[in-house]
Amino acid sequence: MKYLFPLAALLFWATAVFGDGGTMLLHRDAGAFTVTLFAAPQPLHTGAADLSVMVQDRGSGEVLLDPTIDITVGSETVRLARGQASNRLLQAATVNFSKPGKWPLTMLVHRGNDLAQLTTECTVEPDRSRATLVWFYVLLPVGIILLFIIHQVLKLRSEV
Amino acid sequence: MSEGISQAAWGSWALPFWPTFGLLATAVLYLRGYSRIRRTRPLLFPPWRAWCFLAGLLSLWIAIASPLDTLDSLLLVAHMTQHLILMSVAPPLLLLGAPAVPLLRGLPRSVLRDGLGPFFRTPALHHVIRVLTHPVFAWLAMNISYLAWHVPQGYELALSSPRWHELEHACFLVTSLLFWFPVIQPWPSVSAGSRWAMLPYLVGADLVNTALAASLTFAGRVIYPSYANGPRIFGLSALDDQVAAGALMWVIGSIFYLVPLGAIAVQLLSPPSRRVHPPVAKGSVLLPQPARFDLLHLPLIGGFLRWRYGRMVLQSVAFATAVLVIADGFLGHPMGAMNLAGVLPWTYVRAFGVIALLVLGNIFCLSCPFMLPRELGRRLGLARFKWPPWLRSKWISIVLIILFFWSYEAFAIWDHPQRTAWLLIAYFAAAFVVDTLFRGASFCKYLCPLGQFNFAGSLLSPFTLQARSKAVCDRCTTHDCIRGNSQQRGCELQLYMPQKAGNMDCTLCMDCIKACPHDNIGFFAVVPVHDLLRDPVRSSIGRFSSRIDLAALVLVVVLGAFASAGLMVAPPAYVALALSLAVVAAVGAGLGKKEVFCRLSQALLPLGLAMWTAHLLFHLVTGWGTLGPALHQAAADFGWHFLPPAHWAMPPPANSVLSVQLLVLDAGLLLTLYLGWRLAQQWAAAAGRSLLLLLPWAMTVAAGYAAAIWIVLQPMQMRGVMTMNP
Repeated sequence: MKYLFPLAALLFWATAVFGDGGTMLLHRDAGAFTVTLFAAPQPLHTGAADLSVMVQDRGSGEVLLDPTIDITVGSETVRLARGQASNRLLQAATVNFSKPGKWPLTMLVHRGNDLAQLTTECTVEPDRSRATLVWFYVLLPVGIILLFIIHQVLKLRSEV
Repeated sequence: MSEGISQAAWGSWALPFWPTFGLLATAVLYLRGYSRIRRTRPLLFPPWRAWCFLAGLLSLWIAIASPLDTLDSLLLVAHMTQHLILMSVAPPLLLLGAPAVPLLRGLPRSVLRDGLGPFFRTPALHHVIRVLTHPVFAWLAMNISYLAWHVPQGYELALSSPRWHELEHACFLVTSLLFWFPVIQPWPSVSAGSRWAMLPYLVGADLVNTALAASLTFAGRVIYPSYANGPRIFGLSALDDQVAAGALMWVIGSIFYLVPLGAIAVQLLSPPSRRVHPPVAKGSVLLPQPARFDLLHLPLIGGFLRWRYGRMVLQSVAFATAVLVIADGFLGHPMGAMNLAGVLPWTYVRAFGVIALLVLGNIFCLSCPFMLPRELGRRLGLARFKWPPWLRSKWISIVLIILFFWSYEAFAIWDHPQRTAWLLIAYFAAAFVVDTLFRGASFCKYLCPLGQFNFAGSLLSPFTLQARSKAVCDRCTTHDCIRGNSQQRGCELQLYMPQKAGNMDCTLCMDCIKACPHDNIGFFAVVPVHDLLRDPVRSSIGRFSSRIDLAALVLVVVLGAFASAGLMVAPPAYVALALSLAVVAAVGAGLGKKEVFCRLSQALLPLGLAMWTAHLLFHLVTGWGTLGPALHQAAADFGWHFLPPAHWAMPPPANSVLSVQLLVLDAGLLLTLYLGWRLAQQWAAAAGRSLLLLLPWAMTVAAGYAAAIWIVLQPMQMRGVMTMNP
């Protein structure tokens, strides 16, 4: 049974194998561009959210790396930047959704003489992540204490 | 495809912190254990095993951090390559490293024996492991997981949310580790069945893989809607992408099954080889005890700490900073958040001081600026008095700490730079006067509130000054560590090294190290809570169990944490604490009420320090960017107008800090309960009686933890958290 712990350790790290964040919210042709909007977390909830956008040439499908992209959410306008996204084909920015509900989102893509505007609506849910977080960390010591109790019982039994 | 796009795609690396940290930690653990076991079993652990294991970890990291991960929602072929690594590359490589024993041997022996031992001996757990690694279960688990996540509904579910996506990848890795286990049969596991069974085992898995790959390759339509409806890159249509992914799974995936299949077949058909065991040198199985980690042996840090002027350099920097703070406090902006006197001591120094206590030791006292003018006073030659014996306790400093906590809140010192400046001047003056008149470090040992706070906190520090060899101390006749010599003074706090235990009263001045003629003092790593489980006679301190003043000091530090973070919950906490201690003392009658009170009070320290850390960390994180603007403002206030005027803005509170705060509090709770449990066991051998002793105290601790959680969830005052607008 010596491989029990290593196997458990490897399985533990397996849970940290991440998928890439960002779910597609919109994929649309606009002017000379094809624009795709990704958002994380999914579903969106109040608080900070990452919006990332891929802009492609509508005719050739080639990814365009240099357009200027502004996104307006409510009264907040942010300019997207390539350095903000781990996928360098995208541009990204963080926006803040202050309350739940339907939020109008306007995207302005500008490159040379080409300009395109897209509007969409995103649904923002109440943020339950804080409560989940707190419960997780409160229950964590409870779990460890239970494990410790089992440990002590097993130890006592083996001594007997 | 243009070069720019290609560069952008290949440059799409991410650095996921926790997985990267976890993989690195696993590598370190493995290599530590590997180097130990290789000494006794070099034939079983040739270097290629270590390389395989490390390559497995590296491949895992590539799967989660490389462009494969960032492009997987755009390209099916990238996603399938990622799956291939998680299922067919990383698991066999990891298992080829025979990780069981190296990872176990990499752990501290006590963790292995006392922590994990009882679990290893559980029959139920053995049974579960036997089931999990049984070839039938492992084969079914991997193939069902493989198919289930690749049907369109499963695949789309994974792409719809990062959580499902993480679960998908975890399923692949976990079930693949199980699948490859009977194939590799890593030492020391023993095959339950015939090795011939591995041939149909691998052929069957390859057939499943072939069927799935063929269905993707020859489908003639896009199976996964996400790729049909999403953006296409590199001029690859969704269908072409799918065909490429199917072909990859088919060809490469099959190779991963067929190569081991061939190897096992050759192995089974070859005549059995006679293994020759080289003679093992007698006694070599008994490994030497691992050497204690001595910080002084580190090249740069060790040299600096031992350097004669090392402490003075740190103190000079701290002194210059204090002078700057005082000057800005009097001359600068009256608002605390825009003044160095409001920002530096209360946002930065406090937080770093507490963090340093937990990761290293009493660094604040090591670099204490108040000691420099004291040295000046020493040169006047007036220090002829001895500190009165009846004042040689912590009671005055306890009163001063309480006074400090009270005045900090009552006079809002953090928000009034002038008051902070006066406080610092008073501190300098007190240290100068006391130590100019009295011998030894009377101010540090009996008066300084900051010092007492740090002494108490350093009981949990992971490093301590200790003698390297007791035999050398026994032979020593000069005792320079305490008496000093012509070159170097000895310990002014009267901590005699052979009898010094723990960090209480140690300012880390390093005088003892510099004075010892035998170079017999090290700065060793220790298990932080262990010191509170012992009660030896400590040099210049005595036993903790007989020092009510020390217990009271710890209680003030602990309760001060709650009072400082949220004054309103403190009184009930005091009452509950007092009641439970009284009950415990009553139950433990005959054990010595004084001892019970003292040691249980000290056992509260982890929770108290956790509360301090959670509180000060919040201010540090939310006020992290304030130093630059405050320096900027100070420069302007001093009339140095070479910088443009500062613009201020209030940043939003950081949400991510809450996780760290809660984690720190969890650690504090668990360590406090552990200490209480171990102390109760020391006092009462029977488990039932131990529980009876522990229960009321543990309930108070739980109430304190609940109060701490409640406090960190409250909106905090944004003390000193204004940053400059970009």
